[in-house]
Amino acid sequence: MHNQIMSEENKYNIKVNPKEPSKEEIRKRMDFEGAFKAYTHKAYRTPFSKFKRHAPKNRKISMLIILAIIVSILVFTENDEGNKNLKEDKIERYNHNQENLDTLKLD
Amino acid sequence: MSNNVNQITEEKIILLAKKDRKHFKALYTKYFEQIFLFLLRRSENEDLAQELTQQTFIKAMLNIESFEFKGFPFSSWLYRIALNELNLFYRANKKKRFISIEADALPELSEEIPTEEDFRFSNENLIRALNVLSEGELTLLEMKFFEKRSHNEIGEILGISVANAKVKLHRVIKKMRDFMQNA
Repeated sequence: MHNQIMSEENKYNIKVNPKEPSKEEIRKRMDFEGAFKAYTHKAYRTPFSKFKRHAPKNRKISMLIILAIIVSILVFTENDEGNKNLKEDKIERYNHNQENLDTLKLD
Repeated sequence: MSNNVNQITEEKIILLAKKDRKHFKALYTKYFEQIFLFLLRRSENEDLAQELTQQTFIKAMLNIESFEFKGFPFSSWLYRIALNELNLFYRANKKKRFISIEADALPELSEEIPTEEDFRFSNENLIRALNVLSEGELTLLEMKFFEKRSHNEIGEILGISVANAKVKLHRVIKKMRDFMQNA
């Protein structure tokens, strides 16, 4: 009994007692080298492996980016401190002027 | 005892394969036949089964880092990948699914579908009843009756508990019986 039931009304193609290949035939179909090649090809296409592959070049770029970030942070904090000093200066000058005005009024 | 030793050596191979995929060859050689036959029973021809088997092993190599020893055999993990690959193939190609049936298994299936009058269904009716099942239900039935897998193994492959596998299988049989009694 070796047949296949195939008709339009059937949802599935049903094989009854299908012929199975011998162990030797199956062994012939084994190809680990091919699978390994496909694996390496796929594995090397991921963003992380691309990053790893170009590690020396990436390291230089990463260093440059980190350096730029550090420099920009330093510049920003320096500016911030400068602004603070300016504000304090202005307040001090204002207070001094007010004091002068008060003494003038008293006179 | 020897089974335990095999498991330990397999665990070692898996750990080695996690570090260097070239060690995966031993697992490939060990499981190729099982996975190939598993896919052949569910696909159109040997070439397609071979292609899907290769895809299964490629995916396994790509994801072996995520495999953890939780008491399940490595083969269950491979079967699960193979099933996913098969489902992906059928979804992408919009083809009818293939099912392989051993004629010897049909009487056993008929016995599992009891009726009030102790009636045995004909093989043709049984085969016709398979068409009312969903793909998931069919997978369960295939594994239990045509591949003679235990509930434990079915649970491991499908990622469900043994109790859940039993309940689901019971529902599948009930669905088939209802269809056949009403037909």
